[in-house]
Amino acid sequence: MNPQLVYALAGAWICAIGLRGFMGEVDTFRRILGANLLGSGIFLVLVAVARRAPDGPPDPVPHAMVLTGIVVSVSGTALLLALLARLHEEHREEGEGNE
Amino acid sequence: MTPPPFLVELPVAVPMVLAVVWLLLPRRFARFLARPGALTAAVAVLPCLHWVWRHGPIRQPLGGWMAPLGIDLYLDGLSAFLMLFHACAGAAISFSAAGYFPGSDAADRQRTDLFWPLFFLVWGGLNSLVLSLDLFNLFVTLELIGIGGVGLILIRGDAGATRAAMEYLLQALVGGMLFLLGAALMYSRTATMDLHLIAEMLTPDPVLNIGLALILAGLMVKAALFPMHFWLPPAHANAAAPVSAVLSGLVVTAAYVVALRLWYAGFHQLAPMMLPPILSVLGCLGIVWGGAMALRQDRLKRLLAYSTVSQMGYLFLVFALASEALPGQGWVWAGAVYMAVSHGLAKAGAFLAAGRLQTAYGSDRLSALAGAASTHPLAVMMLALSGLHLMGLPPGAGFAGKWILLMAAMAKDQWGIAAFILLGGLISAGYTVRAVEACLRPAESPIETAPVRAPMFPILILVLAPFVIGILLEEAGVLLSIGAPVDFSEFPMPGGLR
Amino acid sequence: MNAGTLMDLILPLGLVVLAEIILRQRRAAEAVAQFMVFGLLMAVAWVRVDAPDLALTEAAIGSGVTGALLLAALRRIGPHREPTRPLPSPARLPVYTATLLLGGALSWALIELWSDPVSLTAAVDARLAESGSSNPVAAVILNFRAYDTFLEIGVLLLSALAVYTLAGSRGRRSLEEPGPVFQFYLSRLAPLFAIVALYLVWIGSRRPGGAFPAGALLSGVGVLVLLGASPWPLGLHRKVVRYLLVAGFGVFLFAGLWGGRYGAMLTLPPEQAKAWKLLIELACMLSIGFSFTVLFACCAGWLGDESGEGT
Repeated sequence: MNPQLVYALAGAWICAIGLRGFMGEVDTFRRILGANLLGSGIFLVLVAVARRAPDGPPDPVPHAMVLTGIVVSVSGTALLLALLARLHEEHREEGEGNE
Repeated sequence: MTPPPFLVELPVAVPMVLAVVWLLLPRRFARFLARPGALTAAVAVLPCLHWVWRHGPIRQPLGGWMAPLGIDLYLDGLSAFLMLFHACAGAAISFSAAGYFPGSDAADRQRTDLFWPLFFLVWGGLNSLVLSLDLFNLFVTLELIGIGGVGLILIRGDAGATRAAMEYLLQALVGGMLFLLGAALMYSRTATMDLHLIAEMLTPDPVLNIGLALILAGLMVKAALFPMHFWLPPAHANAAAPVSAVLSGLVVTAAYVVALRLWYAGFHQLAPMMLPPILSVLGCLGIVWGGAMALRQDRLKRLLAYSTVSQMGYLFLVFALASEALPGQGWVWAGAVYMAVSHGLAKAGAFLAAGRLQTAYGSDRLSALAGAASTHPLAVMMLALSGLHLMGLPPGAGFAGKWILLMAAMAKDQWGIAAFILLGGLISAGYTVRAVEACLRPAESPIETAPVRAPMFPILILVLAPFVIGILLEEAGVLLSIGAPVDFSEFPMPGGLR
Repeated sequence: MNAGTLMDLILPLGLVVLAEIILRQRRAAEAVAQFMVFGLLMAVAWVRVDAPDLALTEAAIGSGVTGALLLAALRRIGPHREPTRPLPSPARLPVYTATLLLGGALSWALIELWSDPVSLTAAVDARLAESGSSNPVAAVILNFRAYDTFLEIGVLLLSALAVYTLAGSRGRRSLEEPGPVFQFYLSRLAPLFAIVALYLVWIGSRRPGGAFPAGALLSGVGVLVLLGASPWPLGLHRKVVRYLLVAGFGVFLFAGLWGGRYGAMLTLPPEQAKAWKLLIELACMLSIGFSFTVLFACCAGWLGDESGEGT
């Protein structure tokens, strides 16, 4: 078996695990982790797919997609975390106000 | 004849240049940019419209590289029509937006000032989305619009908006990733990301099927199809009124149009037998669920947001009616576009009208709006008129769209779908009456209402525009048929529309 | 079976297992630590599948920046976390079904795909000379698919703007005083990082490198400076902040419009391509670096309107 296929299959199952984390968790922080795992899995699939041909250089187009995708996913994650942290703080202050 | 340089890029470039200039200028100058800028961005579409009408579709290879290596923009009747829709709604929203923001303290101002660059970037992204033919580019553009939408929701600055924005962003990111995964599979099989080039290579192939399913799943999340709609009502109800208008009127519609374009580019041949029935069942459930929830809401903006869920359900019924090539299939396609655009315009108008009432009464609770019909008769009338479009009553474009879908459903013996189309109309009537009736009730005691700074005429334009499309229906149909991948030869019910 | 083959079995398997462990981890801080290890292992995996240039970016952004963001947010969320309830059991069945369906369908599709390795490698090579880069990935990013990169810088700009919208509604926390040792290292590390970032951009057209890892490195500098209790990246004049955030997108847009004279947006004639691309990459590096610094500061609660006088 082509070793790159093993990496691609690993990527597929990381996607699945990430999706489960996103859908199957209640805690938002954990759902964000799940979404990030989903992203990592997709990038691994793409990088492995670029290396399918047994010889010659890898396909640069999926590589470019991965570079673009990483920045998009990290920007989104950063914004999500900022929102989450803000909500927690507000929640806490409300709690203190009520006591 | 070669098109003038820069024709196709103009509707994307102008709003983006505006956003950059806005950010570079000192605020006191930038504020004057909003309305002239929005008008310029709207006018930038006209050359495209003119060219398409006179000379037909064009493919513009960005950077001079052609697909499959590069990214091509494709200007056809559909993209011109939708950009015109964005121009109309965008200009109307920009002309009223400032009136909805509290301008009192400095922190508020700083936040609401950011509406403009965010809005212009989203506008440019929306135009890019309807022009682009490249799957990966569509992914990036969808993310651009999604994150822009989150920024727009945050302008409201309270905890409810923050929570709604977070849920929206989480869903948008994961929806985008499913789309990306599907695009990756498509690319790995065909070595191109260009929709038309992929469509030429379509053969029954499990890899492409899985790719299509993932892409559609991603778009369904973004277009809030039942049961992936849970993020929508809080996000659209908690945003400031002009932002709700952008999100509910333009952003969801854009995601839907991508699905429509994919489907008709030939991807429907790929779809396994069970996909159209699944989509239609979800669509029907969405109509009923969204409608029933809208009927139960006690806040006007939440009611409107749930109505969006219901209307998106309608739009997905098209996929069940378009699974095989039929003569006149082009009109079903046009019908879906009419409905989507009519809903977008009417819903944007309805949110702006609701925003006026909310400003005046300090709340959008239906129970608090008693007496609104006498203090703000025009706003209530606009609300009622936009309800007419949602119900699909003549002579608006919404009526035409619904009528075409109904005819197509009956022609294909899809009686269940026809029944749900009619039922959906009844439910829309129900929630519209509920909203308007709340405003018609006399106030028990005279209520002091706050002054409303937002102008009325943009709402009027938004609510009347679907009527204009309804009157120019044949011209709109001719425009949509330019460069369309479907057969417009035979009208399903000759002359039956006017 | 040699060591390489063995590694190519253990590493992918380890990644899958680690992903599962991360989600099963009940303590969030440990989950984040494991996530960072996951990112580094992922980078190693990418080296194994012939993508060393991407591995650099993944290690810097995917693992480094994301990890820093997660930690910063987690510190603010603190002990007042939402209780971790398990999903109610009726909801579990559809979730697990969807998961298994996705994993199974993807695996099947990938096995199918391996029999027929189509790619654009030849098409890229054929026109590489026109692009002005010798690195095919750089050519795809800045020439063939420059429009994607442009919009992606737009996404980054939008998230930074969104973060400013968010921060505009509240005050900020104050920075904490670091130890003297940290400050000693900071004063030496920060310039070094900046020089390495410039070098990465410079070699980007020929060898692995470019605006992304360079920008990530710069944001590392920004974060270190913030951790050193020096708020200057946030205390910069508002105008400067805006210029830095908008630089990448603005220069890219301007280059695109300039190129429009040659037929279509983003056309860079070969003789000018190199200069334009260097300019774009430098501007993007600044914007990426500064945007991530700002995003980090917002996650940590350091961004606010205390210094807020509108310009």
